[in-house]
Amino acid sequence: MHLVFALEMRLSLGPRRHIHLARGYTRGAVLIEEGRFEGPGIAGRIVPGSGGDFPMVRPDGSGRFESQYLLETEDGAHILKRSTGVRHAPPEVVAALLAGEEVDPQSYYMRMTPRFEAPEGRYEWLNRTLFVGVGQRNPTGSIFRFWKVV
Amino acid sequence: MDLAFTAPTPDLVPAFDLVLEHGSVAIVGAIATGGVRSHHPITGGSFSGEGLSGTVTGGSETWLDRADGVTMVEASYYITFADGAVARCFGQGYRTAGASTRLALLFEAAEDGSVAGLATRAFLGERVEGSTRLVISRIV
Repeated sequence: MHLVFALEMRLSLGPRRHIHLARGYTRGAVLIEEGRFEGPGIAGRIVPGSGGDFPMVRPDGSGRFESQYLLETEDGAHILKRSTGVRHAPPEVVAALLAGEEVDPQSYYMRMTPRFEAPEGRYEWLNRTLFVGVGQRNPTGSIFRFWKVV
Repeated sequence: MDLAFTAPTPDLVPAFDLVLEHGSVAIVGAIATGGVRSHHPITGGSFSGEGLSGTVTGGSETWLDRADGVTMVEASYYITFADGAVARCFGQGYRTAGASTRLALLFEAAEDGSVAGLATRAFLGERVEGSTRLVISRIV
């Protein structure tokens, strides 16, 4: 197995909401306001209001991601993207991330493994391919890059 | 929106071997959400790599043979280590008949336990068709 670049995604995010489930267990909710994606043979936009990221954030800096939203390709196909992932970072880096500060993306481990539901046809390869994603959180949004596992 | 992308480029490095013993398959049948559901229990096996070794003490794979010929696999394996620590390796992926099964995997482990570090990284697994060995790579 090795990784081949598949697409880049740039998102602008709404305000972060929090669900304090129990002491030390907080579910974040960040909805995607708008975004675009592009890679070899695929490009389009994120459908506004179609979802977002819902991380489980722990005070020790670890976290699990769950996200779900809808992609719309330039030729009109809709693709559901769902993802799980893991973040591990020193507590001071997590604090800066949560405060919306700019953080060196090399200072933490954050990897996602998204899966897609795409219509039959030119995008159906998404339905049987594993992906690895890396994220970079910025004060105004996020940039993700995804590599396909071949 | 023209910020430079400065995050790391990921790669895969060899991490673990998970050898699985499979029990009897139970077939649910064709279900309303699309495909044929079946249950593949794990009855034993071994886990090794990165200085760790353990015994597979249970788990299962839940398969959905989809109409497009690809099987969606949801996996959950329990591993007991020599010091008594237990971890769950879980995830999902795709099986292409005649080729291989590939899974995106995470671990759960006690946060104050000896194998807590397993839960801080993401992994990929690959099993060649017909093999009992799932080769697990760490995503770096």
